[in-house]
Amino acid sequence: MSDSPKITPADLDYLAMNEVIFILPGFSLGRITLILGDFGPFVPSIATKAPLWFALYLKERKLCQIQVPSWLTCEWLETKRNEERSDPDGPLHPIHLHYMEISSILLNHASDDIPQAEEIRTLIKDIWDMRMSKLRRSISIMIKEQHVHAQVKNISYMELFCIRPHLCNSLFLIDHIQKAS
Amino acid sequence: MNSLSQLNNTSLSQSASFRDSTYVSHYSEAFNFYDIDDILASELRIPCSFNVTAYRLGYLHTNSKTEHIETGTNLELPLWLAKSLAGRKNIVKVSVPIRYTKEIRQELEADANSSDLNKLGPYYYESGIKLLSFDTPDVDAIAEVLIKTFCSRSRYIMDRSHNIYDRDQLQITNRLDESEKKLFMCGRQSVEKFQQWETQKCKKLSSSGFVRMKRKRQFDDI
Repeated sequence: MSDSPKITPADLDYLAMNEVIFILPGFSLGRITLILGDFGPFVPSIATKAPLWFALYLKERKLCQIQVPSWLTCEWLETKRNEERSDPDGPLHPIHLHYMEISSILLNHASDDIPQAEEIRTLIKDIWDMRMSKLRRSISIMIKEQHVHAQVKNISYMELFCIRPHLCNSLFLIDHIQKAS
Repeated sequence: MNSLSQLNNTSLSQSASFRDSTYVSHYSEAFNFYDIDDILASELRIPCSFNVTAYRLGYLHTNSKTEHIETGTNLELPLWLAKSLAGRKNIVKVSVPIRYTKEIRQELEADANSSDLNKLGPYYYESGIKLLSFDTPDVDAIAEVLIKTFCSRSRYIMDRSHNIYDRDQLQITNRLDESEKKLFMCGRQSVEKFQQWETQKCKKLSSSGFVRMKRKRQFDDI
């Protein structure tokens, strides 16, 4: 059985840094070419796309304002929470696959650009708890009733990280017993 | 001798590569050679009766003073020995150990969560799996019970490993079989890492314990 998961939450943070968000630059600059693609030109106070790591770099130097992604607003998260709450036995609802990482990064580094930051923090935590309990319930049903396959949609990377060791190793053990008999 | 050492080398390197790959379990037969759990699991004692007379092996039977083991003698042999004696020339007849008999199986079927698998045998699943290779009529029933027991205990292990925050783990793990303990620790590690990430602890750089120890030793030398 594997000793520890290879991918850590810090790695997931790193992967999430490549997500593209909108910034309001406080400077002007021509097009820049990155591995992700071309970005810019940057004109002061005109919303422009940029990768998250670049946005954070600028933010640290107070060169830009970060525009909160549409899925990180209070209204949107509230509808999400209500959706998840309304059917506790149903499937997971679509959500940004890096929602935990991006929200944590933005709340920690750019909280002054986010209106109602505290409410958002609570909502994210609520959504996380509900989704995890859903996942745990469906996994235990799957293992108990010995289904051979299950379809899971909309599972985010952080959720996957938390449940993968248990799920994979349980299935390995069951498979091992079945192969021996 | 040379070929043997070569063989050992290849299996060592194989087991090293197996450790690197994250989600490959140790449940593949090929890598079990150096696995201490596997060795301990095959120590399970199995009641056997001899089909033939075993000459000059009387010392194995502690209660008798005879030089030979007579035909029909009942003796408990470790699993690894019984396997080769029963398999090849049908020297012994194997019967199911007490821990896997019908009474215990019924107990497990009735309520798997309340039974103490560590008490039944610290390697209940592993030894049970090894038992399946014997030619006894109970084999199918044992396999079914092993799977059912694990399936119903899985939820308990997952819930505990996800929800125990810095509490005493011993209370939970001392009722688990060794395979379940490993499963528990696996889940535990991922949750611990997640908690560290949540509290931003993983982003702080700290010197490794090895370096600190090394510095101390250098001062001692002076």
